[in-house]
Amino acid sequence: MSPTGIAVAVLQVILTIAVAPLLVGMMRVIRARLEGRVGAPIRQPWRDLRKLLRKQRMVSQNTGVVFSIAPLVLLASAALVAGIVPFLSTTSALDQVGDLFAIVYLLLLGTVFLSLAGLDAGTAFGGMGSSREMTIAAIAEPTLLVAIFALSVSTGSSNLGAIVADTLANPSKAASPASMLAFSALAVVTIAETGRIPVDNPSTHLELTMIHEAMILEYSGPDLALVELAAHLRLVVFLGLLANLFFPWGIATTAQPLHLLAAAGAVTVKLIVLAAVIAAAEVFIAKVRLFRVPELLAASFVLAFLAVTVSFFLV
Amino acid sequence: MTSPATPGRADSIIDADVADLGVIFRYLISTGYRLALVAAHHDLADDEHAAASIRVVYVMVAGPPDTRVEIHLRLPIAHPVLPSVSDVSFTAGRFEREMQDLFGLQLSGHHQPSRLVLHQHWPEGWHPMRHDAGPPPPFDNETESYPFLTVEGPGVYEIPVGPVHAGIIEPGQSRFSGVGETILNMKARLWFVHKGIERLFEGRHPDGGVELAERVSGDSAVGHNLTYCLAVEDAAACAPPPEAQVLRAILLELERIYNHVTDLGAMGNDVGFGIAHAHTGRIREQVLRLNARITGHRFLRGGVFPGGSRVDWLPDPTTLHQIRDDVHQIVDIMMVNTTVVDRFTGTAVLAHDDAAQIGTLGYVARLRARYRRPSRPPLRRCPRAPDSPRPARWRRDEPVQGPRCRDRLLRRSHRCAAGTGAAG
Repeated sequence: MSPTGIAVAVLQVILTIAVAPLLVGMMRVIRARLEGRVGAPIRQPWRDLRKLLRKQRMVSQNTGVVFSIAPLVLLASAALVAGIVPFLSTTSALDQVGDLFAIVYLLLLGTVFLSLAGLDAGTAFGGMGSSREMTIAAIAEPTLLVAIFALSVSTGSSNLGAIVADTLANPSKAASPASMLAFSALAVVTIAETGRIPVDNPSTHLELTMIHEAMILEYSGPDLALVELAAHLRLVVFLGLLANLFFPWGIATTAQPLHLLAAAGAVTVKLIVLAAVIAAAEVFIAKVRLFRVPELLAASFVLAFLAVTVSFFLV
Repeated sequence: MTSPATPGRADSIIDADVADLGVIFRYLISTGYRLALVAAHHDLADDEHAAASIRVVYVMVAGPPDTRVEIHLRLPIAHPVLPSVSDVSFTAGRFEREMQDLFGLQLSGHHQPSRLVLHQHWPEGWHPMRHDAGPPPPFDNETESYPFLTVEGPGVYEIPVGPVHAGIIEPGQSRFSGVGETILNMKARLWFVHKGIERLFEGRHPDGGVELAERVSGDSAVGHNLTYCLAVEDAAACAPPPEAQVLRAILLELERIYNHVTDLGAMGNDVGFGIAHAHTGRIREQVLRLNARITGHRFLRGGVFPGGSRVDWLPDPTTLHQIRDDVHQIVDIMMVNTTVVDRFTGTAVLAHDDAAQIGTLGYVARLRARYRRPSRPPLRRCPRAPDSPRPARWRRDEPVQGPRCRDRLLRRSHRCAAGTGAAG
């Protein structure tokens, strides 16, 4: 672990945390403009977080230790993943220990803790949200794993940095059938895991239709700020994975400051494009019925499975 | 028969006995009458009627042609026992429970005689609609719990929703009993805001009742106020001039339109289709601004009064045509979107029998009547189960029919205005 590698990882975490709320704010603005509304300014999510952090911490007496530590675990796991995933450079400090399995299960760790927190408060909505989140996670996580695994087959390594570097070295790999199938699968998982339409509606006020929002109903103040920030971070992590695993161009292969700066610009542009596409697509679709969500995710799992199969036969 | 001058008069009034009520009621129901209202009143003792009594009036309607029959019943104040007809009519059962709470009637033969309007924390024996009720007593601390039906079994859980909601709706608690995602039972508890409006009307000058009637419910100011004015005119045996009736019809139409537009957007918003909500919000605002110019109030308050109606200004029909086209476009955008149609299809299907049992009114009742008609071809865009996208489509069609009818009314009223001056 070189000092520059650690510096890159820390830089990635700081950059992701700074950018994540702005990216969410941008998605809201795009959606508002397309719907004919003015919408809140892009920095509104940051303002909301600041407001929440200033508030008093209120915790129900019926909650246990899981409820208290869940926001921290959620945020820490998301931040750690943000440090591991090759956003800026293929030579990240944590890259040697963090391969695709570590990333998938770090993300799952956050999901599980939030679901446990939803159950911990003992309210009906929290339990309902947790149950739904687990239903989705049960199909989404293996899809995520298998989709990235499909990319690792041809590289011969489950290390994300190696996968990205391999795609950089062989650009034709990005257009291979396996890569395209895996991209489709990962795109669906991204939408499901980040609670976007058509799987979940982040702006609904109807408690009975909520998934993510139902789990966090009991959170307020600084705790809610952590949960919200973690949700923003996870969105960036997923979009960053989509961006750099399939379109790695622009990423630095060294740890030189100038290259890192250029890589930061490149990844920001990629994130903005992906977020804009998702935000624009959301305008034109309604949320699907909850019973349809497993169908959607099962289809994405099939795509991921096909990607793995294809990657063995068509190299 | 009903004369046009007194549209509210009953065609016949039956003075019934307690023993005869059930027979008469069942007979009327079996001949196609439906229950419109059951109302009670505390009659004080006077020279003609020997003793004080509680008068119960059942209003039964049938049509076409519109006919109205009233059953009048007098119960002694000391021992007011009302034989229940809830086994024949669900709606009557609800009215009976309301009268039980407010007038202290004792129900005999009711299948569910628990409290309805006055919640459990109100002390027993205080019936606010009686003249001798006095000021409200302090709330009971020892309260019985509300008789929610409990569903038991492995994995069954209850979700209470409300009574305070995230949206701007009136309070009400829904209790869902479910296993996983399957809802086994839903019980709604309403009447959290019994405002005592009936007693507030007492002793007011007829004109003074207008401001109260308009505030019964914010989004139906014209509807409630018109009902009040018709009742006053009925009691006074006078009718407003025809121009005023035209203006009333226009105001009712305008009220209907902004409500339908709002609900269309809400339906879109509830399935996560925000663009419909954003644009119906814009159209609603246009209509409300028109309303503000028409009567001076965005919710059309002050347009109708006993004996007449007034407007400051009437919109140009082309303005309304633009609004209609806008609404059309939004509904078309919604109904060609497969994800939206999928959410609407098969959601909250109201069977015809249930609609009749509950006694649905307004567009819901008309929708069911229309649905029954075999001559209407099924909608092309949703061939699988045409039930449920209907409300959305119907709501689209409503404003469409509205302007057409309103155009005729507006032409007429402009002619009237030429003769009588714009303020009807």
